[in-house]
Amino acid sequence: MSAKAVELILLRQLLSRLPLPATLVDADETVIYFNPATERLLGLDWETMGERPLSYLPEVVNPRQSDDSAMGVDDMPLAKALHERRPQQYRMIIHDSQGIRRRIVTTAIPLDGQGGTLLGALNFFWEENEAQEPVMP
Amino acid sequence: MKVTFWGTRGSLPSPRPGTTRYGGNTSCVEVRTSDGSVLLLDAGSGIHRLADFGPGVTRVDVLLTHLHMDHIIGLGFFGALFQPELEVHIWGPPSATLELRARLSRYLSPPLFPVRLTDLPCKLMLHDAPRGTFDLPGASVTADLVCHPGPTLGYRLEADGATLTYIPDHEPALGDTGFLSSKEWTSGFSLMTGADLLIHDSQYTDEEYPSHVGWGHSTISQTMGLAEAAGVGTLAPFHHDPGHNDVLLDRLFSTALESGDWSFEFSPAREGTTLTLGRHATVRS
Repeated sequence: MSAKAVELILLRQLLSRLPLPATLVDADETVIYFNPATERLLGLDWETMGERPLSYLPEVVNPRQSDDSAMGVDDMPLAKALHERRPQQYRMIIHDSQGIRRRIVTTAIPLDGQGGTLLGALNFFWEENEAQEPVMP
Repeated sequence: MKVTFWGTRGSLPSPRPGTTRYGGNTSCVEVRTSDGSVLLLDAGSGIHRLADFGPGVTRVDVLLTHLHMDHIIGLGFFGALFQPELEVHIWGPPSATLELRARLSRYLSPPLFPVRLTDLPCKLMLHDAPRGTFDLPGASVTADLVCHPGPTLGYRLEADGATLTYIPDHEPALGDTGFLSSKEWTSGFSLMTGADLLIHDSQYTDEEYPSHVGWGHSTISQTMGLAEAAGVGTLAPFHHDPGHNDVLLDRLFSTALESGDWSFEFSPAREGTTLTLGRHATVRS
C-alpha cells in the first residue's frame, strides 16, 4: 500500500470543506474522491461508492451534452483535462441518483506535479441557474 | 548504519543551560554506512560540529528536506565546504521557480553571508532531489514530498540491511478530521512504513497544537500514532520546540510513553548521541 501524493492528500482536505461540488481523479484514471457538496447535489454517498474507474462515472451520472446528445466518458471534461492536460470548461447535463436532470457548468483542470509528473485531474461544477448569464458560449 | 544527532532542535537554535541534554542546535543528522559513506540529513546549526570526516572520505552528501532557515543555517559554517579535496553534493527539494543554487544563494551571499557559494573551495555540486528512489554512495534513498509549508521532502534511506526514515518537519494532521483513519491518505506514510528508525517531527504538545495549525508540525501524540500505524522499530521524536527545556521534554515524553501500549522502541533524539541500526535492532551509544 502506498500513500497518495501529498498534493492529492491536501486537495482532498481542502475539497472536503468547500461548498462547491468537486471530483478528484488520479493519473491512473481512478475517481479517488468526491466531496460532500457533490454528495448533496447528486444524492450520492462517497463511502458507499468508494474509488472507481473514471469509466464508471457515466453509469452514475449519465452525462449528456448541453443539447442533450450523448456524451461518452472520453468527452467528459474530467477525462479530457486528464488526457489533453489542458483546462476544460463545459455546460452539460448530468443526472442525480433519482434520475433528475441537472444542468451544470463544470471546470476541469489537469494536476501537473513537479517535473511534469501528471498527478490526476480535478473538476468543480455547479448547477446552472436559469437566471444567470451564460458562463461560456 | 550509524545515526548521530548533531542538531535536534526545531525552528531556532536554543543553546542554554536548560537544553543541554536534548540539545540546542537545529536539525542535522549524520548517517555513516558500513562502507564508510557519509550522508548528512539537513544543515541546521548542528552541522558546524562536523569538519573532520576521517581518512578515506572524499565525498559527503547533504540531503536537505527543505530550505527553511533552521535547516540550512549551518551551511555557511560547514567545514567540508572549505576543504578543496572534498566533493560535497547538496540535494534539495525541487522548486517550480528557481533552481537550488539560486535559492541557497539567497542566504549564502552578501548581505546575509560574506562568502558566496561560487567562492567555496570544495568541489560543490547541487542537485534537485528526484521524487522517488535514487542511489547514493552507501545508501538507496527515496524522497517524497510531505505536508509542510513550501516544497518539503521526507527521506527514506536503506543501507546495511536497515531502513531509516527522516521527516523532521511534517504536519500530516493538517485539516484532516479523520487523521490516521486511512494510511493511504496520510502524508509521508509510504516513507515511514516498516522503518527500523523513524526520526519525526514532534514539536508541539496537544495543548499547543490548536494555536499552531498550518505551521507545518506535529504533536508528540500524533507522532506516536504515526509510528504505531507505520510499524516502525524505533521512534526518535525530533525537532523539539525551542521553548521546551529538558525538564519539560522529559515529562512530555514520559507522559506520551505511558499513554499507550506501543509496539516500537522509544528513543527521543538527543544531540551528540548515536544509534546503531541493524535489522530491527537499535543500540544507543
